[in-house]
Amino acid sequence: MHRILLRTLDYANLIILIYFIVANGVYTMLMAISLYAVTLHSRFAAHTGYSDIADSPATPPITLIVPAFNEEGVITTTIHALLRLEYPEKEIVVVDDGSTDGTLRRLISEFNLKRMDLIYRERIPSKAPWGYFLNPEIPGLLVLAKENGGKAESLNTGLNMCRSPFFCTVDADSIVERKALLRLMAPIMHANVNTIVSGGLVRIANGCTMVNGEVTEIGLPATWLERCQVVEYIRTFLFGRPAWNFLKGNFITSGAFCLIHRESAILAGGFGKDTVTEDIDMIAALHTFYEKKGWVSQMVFTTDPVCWTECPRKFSMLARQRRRWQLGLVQTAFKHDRLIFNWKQGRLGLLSMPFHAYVEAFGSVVETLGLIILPLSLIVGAMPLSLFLLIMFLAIGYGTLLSVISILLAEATIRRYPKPSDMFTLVLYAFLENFGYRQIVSAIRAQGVFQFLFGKKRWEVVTHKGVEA
Amino acid sequence: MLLENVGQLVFWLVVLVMSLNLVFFLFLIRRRLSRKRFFIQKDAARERYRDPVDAFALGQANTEQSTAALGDAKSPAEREALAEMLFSASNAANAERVSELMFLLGMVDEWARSAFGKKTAKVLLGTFLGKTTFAQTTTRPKPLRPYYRTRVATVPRALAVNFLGRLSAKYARPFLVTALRDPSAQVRRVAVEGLGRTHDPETAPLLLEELRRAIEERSDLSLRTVKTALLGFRLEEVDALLPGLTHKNRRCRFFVADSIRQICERAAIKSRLTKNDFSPALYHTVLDRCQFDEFEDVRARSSYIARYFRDQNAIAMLRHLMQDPNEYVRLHSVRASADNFYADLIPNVINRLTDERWLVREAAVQTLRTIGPKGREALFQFFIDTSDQFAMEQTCDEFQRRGVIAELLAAMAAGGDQGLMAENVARKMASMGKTSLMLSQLTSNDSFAVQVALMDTLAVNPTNEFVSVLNVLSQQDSGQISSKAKQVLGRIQSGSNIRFGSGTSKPGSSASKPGSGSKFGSGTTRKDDPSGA
Repeated sequence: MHRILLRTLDYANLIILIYFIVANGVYTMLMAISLYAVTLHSRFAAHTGYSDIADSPATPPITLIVPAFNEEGVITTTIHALLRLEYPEKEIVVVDDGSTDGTLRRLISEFNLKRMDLIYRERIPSKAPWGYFLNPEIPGLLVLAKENGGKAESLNTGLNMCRSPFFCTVDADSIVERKALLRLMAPIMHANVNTIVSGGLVRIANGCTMVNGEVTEIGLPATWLERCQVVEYIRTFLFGRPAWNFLKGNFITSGAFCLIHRESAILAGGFGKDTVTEDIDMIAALHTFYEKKGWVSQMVFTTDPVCWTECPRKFSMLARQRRRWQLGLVQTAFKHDRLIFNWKQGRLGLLSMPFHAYVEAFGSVVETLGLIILPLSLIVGAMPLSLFLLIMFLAIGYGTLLSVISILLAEATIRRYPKPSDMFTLVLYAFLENFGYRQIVSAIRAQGVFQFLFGKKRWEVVTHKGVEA
Repeated sequence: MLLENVGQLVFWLVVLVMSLNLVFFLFLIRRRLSRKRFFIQKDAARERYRDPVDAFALGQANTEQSTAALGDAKSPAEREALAEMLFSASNAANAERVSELMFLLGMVDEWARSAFGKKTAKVLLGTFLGKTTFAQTTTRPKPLRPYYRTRVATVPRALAVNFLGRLSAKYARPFLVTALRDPSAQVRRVAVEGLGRTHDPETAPLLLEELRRAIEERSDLSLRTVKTALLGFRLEEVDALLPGLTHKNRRCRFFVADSIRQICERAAIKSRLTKNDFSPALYHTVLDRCQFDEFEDVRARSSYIARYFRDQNAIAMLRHLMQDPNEYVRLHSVRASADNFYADLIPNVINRLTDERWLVREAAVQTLRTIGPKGREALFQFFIDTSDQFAMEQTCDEFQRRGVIAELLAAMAAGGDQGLMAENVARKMASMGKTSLMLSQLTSNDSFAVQVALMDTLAVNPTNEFVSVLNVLSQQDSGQISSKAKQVLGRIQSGSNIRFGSGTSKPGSSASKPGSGSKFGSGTTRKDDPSGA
């Protein structure tokens, strides 16, 4: 019996080891590419302005679509920040998704909106708004009120009202920096290939000082949970995505702040309602659509457009958010499984999609399993204490290394943490997050995978307090 | 034995990873410190050179004196600060002097070497001394081109060309023209942007050639970048782009026509343009060739250029293009007519209100609204008389979005012919169920006359919401308002006030409930033109 257990543990350890080598091998490659791409991009971006784009009538207009559900506390701050964005021609469409709090009321009173009966041309099936609110003195702001139908449907409703060639999805709890739209549009303006998606950096606003919806001082939050998330966001956005962008394998672009070509999104069927992460689903749908049509296009990600968002302050909210993200990732990977190992998709199909599907989507289960199997191996004598400790040190050391390099990349960007003490704190948390935080997040993500396997599809609502508050 | 080996391997991996952690951490600290030093130096340089730069910019110091005063800037931080200060002090009047000073300070030489290498830089700098010409400049050797395309080799060159592109046209020209032959697309892009910024008519043929290459040869430069550069030209320099309007490639003609249109729009913000602002060559090209171009996009965009001619020929051209079989030509010619001068075109624009494409209908409504009082009156009359559902809806949409309702209410309160027309417009809107905005005005407007007019108007198609508001008003203390509300309520209950039959909804019917929309209400879906904008 003991021998069977030892043999089983040996096999399990082998699987974990293979996963560890593959995952960290890919991470090392991504890290090296990001160091190269981000530092050079930042160097060029720091010396060149965006006045050419800001002044050029050739710059395409943009519609910012803001889906809002029960965002009473933050919505007006977000909209004020959006109205102040530097961009030659923009329109803001807020879609109130049947909020049960005072979201709509606050918008109406803050911007002196009047209810109107406007034309709604449906190109993507979605619930038509029951109310249109506009102030002729603020022609760039339109608020739509509709019955509750979820974020994807709200985005589709906004898309039906959108007139510009590009639209930008913005979360109602996010603050977009003044020049961020210009920076997001720059790669589209400069590309000789049809660029249908442009994504930017999402950073955590907790701990920053905000005045009238603008980040005036960058700082770190006070609690360990938020600080660990800061390190995690920096790692995700500064070494994962720039590297996949360099390899032309963009698969994940944050819906909190993402510019998309309107006609392509409509032709691809709009935002899917069958996954809980409509942003990733849209990217995958666009890849699929363009491949079927045989049209050439590209998606880009850049590190200088910044959008600030509020991260969960409570563990329960963090768990909800991460479970949903993981569930959505697995749903999207299954829904668009034809992209995996699809040579027609180039590096996206052969590298990025398999990595996201097998390492990012299901890796959390292996990681969580490792957290159980390795100590069990030690207890039953399948692994000596010295090797166990060394493996633990290696995992922690490597995790810290990835985070430290990400912090170095953050230093190269325009909006870094100015205080030296913040930089040291970040390095400290790059080390500390390996003791508990990462393990817990892995377990939560694994839970998301199991939710998918057991057929559960539920949008878990995360509530926000508002950073300025 | 095997386990021991694994253990050793893991041990050394741990040592390696921990060492790397330490190395990167130390690098992080070093970077912070070096950046801090750099910015301290830069701030000090800004402080030190402020007065000499200001004196130079104001013309109080000549180039030789300024060269002597600023020549001690040696470190990268000082050079960067000085370059930034000089560029921000540069304007149309002193650009040549600033560029000359930068040349004497050795900055141009430094950037040229960084962008093109010592050999080519020497040749290019020689052009200013009359020793060499551009044609003698060299390009990168073919075997090394892949290296020059890598980011690590491209970024310093692109930055240098970016600085060179901010010099005056005379100084920038040789460098930008040479940079157009760089192996890297990023460097060429920066060069094209520089050519746009300098808007030198002598380089216009090069930009037109870049445009042709971007269209015909799948060049790695984006069309938007080239177009942005073309837009750098001013109206008085626009003749330099004229060959593009007669180019054999139709997309070239389109991009040039569109660029000239936008250059005109920018110039029109500053002053009212007439045909005298254009050269005869451009005037005749637009009227005689672009108007009849086989490519619809050229015809469409040329209508905007013609609008600035403001003469009978322009009127004739716009009238002709409004009948074009292509919807986009109709759309743009209707939009181009949005000017008081084109009041003669009102009947033609009215015809476009019933166009089969909604974008044209929308443009027609907007044009009539902005064409002046005559246009607005014609639009109101059309709206009252028409039974075209789509045109009616489009007009209502525009009235609400652009604040026309407030003007209508003011006219209703004032009375007279205008008031009567406004009342008829409002009643027609009410009959279509477009009452939300008027209802909100009923509760928020302070004017008694407006409130009375609104009550009468909204009674045409009494919705549940309207009846609720009337009930509230009838219980108010204000005698006149409450008695009027009671009177209207009574009329609604007796059913004697409804004048427009087809589009009305009675209180309690599904069409009057919020969320469902009326027959013509907010929920109406238009499927006549699914292609969008």
